[in-house]
Amino acid sequence: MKKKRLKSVKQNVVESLELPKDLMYGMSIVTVTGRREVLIENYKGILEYNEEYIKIQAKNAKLTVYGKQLKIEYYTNEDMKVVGFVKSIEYEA
Amino acid sequence: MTALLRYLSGYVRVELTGYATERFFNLCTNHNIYIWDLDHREDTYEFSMKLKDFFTIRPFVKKTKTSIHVVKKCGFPFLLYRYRKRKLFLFGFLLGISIVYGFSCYVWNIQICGNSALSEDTIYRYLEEEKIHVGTAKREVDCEKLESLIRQHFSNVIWTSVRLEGTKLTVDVKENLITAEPDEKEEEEESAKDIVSDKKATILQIITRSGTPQVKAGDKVKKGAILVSGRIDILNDAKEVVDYRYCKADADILARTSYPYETRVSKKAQKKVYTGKEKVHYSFWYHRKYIGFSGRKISYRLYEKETEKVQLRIFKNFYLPFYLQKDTYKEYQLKEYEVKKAEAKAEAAKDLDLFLSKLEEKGLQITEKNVMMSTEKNDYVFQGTILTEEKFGVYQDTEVLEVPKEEGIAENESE
Repeated sequence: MKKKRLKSVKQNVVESLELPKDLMYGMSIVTVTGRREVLIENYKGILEYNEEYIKIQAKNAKLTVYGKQLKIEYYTNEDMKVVGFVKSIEYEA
Repeated sequence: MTALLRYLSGYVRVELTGYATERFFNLCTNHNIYIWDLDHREDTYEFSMKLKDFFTIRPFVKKTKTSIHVVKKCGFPFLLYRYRKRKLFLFGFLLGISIVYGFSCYVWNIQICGNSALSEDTIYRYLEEEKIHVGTAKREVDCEKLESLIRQHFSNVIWTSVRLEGTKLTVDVKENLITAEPDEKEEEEESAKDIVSDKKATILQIITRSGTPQVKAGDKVKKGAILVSGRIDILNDAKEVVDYRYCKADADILARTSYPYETRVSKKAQKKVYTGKEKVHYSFWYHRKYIGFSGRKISYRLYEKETEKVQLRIFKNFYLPFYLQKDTYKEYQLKEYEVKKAEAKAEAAKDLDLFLSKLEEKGLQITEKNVMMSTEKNDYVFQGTILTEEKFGVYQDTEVLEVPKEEGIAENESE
C-alpha cells in the first residue's frame, strides 16, 4: 500500500515536471525503422541471440525481436542496433 | 569517419563459440567494450572489436567458458607490422615527404596579372631588385610591404595585391590609364610662340585664334616659314607700328603635304623550303640548370628551333622548380627563285599598306597616292608620292623686336 502510494507520488512528480520518462523509470526505447532496423536504448543485456530472434533484458521486461537474418550492427552500454528482416517484437513480463 | 578511425587504431574480427556466449557479450558491454557487426552463424558468433580491447577480454573468455579466435586483422597497425622490415621503403617515404615539404617553402612561380602599360619584365626586374625571384624562401616575402613598395615605385599603379598561394606568387596590378600629362603641358607654355611649318606644304585652311596669320589658304610654304606669328602689331591711326604684343599663337591649320615613297623588291629571293624532317628533343631542367635526357646533336645544316617549356606542378598552385622542355627542330633548305611581277606587286602593296597605316596613325588623312612600278637590273622599284592632308605647324619661340622709335616721338607729342 505504502509502496503503491510512493510510486504514484513519483509518477506525479515526473508528469508534472515533464521529466524524461526513460531516465526516470529506466524504460527502454525501441525505434523501428521500416522492417529493417531496430534501435533499442536503455537495456541491461542480451539473453539470447541467434539469426531468428534476439532476446533482450530491459529493466522490468524482457523484449524479443523476431525476424530473419538478424544481425547486431553495433552494441554498446546504452544502445544497440539490430538490422535484418523484422517479423515481430514481443514483450514478456 | 568512424570507419577511418577504426582503421587507424586497428581492429580484429573474431569468432566466438562455447557455453555462455550471451554472458560474454554482457560482460563486454559492462566493461565498455565496443562491439559491432555482430553476426550469428549456427553455433558461432562473429564480430569486430578494437585491437586495444582484444587484449582485455581474456578473463571474460575464461569466465564464460567460451573459446575465441581471430578471423581477420584489419587496420593500420597490422599494415605497419607487416612492412616492419622494409626500412628502405620507410626511409624513401619520409625522404619524399620531406622533399615535397622542402619545395613548398620556396616561391617557384611568379605571375603578374592586370598590367597593360607596364611590361611584365619591368615588374620582374623590380621584384628582382627587391630580392624576390623564383627560388626565394616564402617566409622572406612580405606581401603587404611589397604591395606598398610597388605602389611607390610605379607611380601609375593605383592598386596592387600580392598573394602567395602554394608556391605561386601572384601580383595583381591595376594601372591608372588616364595620365595627367596634357594639363601640365598647357601650364608650361605661356611664353610667346610662333607656329612655323616643318615641311613643304600647301595651306588649305587656316583659322587663327590668337596671333597674326602670315599665310592664307592656297599659299605654298617652305620649311621653316612662319605661319602664325605670336607678335601682334599695334598700329596707330596712320597705320604705323606703335607697339608689339606677344602671345602664344594658336590656330587650326590644315595643309596638303606630300610624302615620297619608295620600295624595292628584289628579283631574286630565297625561299625556305621545309624538307619535312623533324626532330624532337625533350630535356629536363631544375630551375635554370639542365639535368638530362636530350638527344643526339642536330645534324641539320639549317633548321628552325621551337621551344616549349612547361613547369611541373603537383596541385593547381603547387609549382615545382622542375621544367620539361620540348625542342622541335625543323630542317629547311634555302632555294633561290625568280620573283614574278605579280608577286612583287603583292609584296609592294603590303609594304605600302604598312607605310600608309603608319601615316594614318600620326593623324594624317590620305587623299591621293601615286605609285609607279619600274624594273631595274636586279630589282623591281616602286616609287611615288602620297598626298595627304594634315594638321600642320610646330611651335617656335617668337623673335622679340624692339619697339620702333616713332613710339617715343608720339609719346612726346601727346605730352
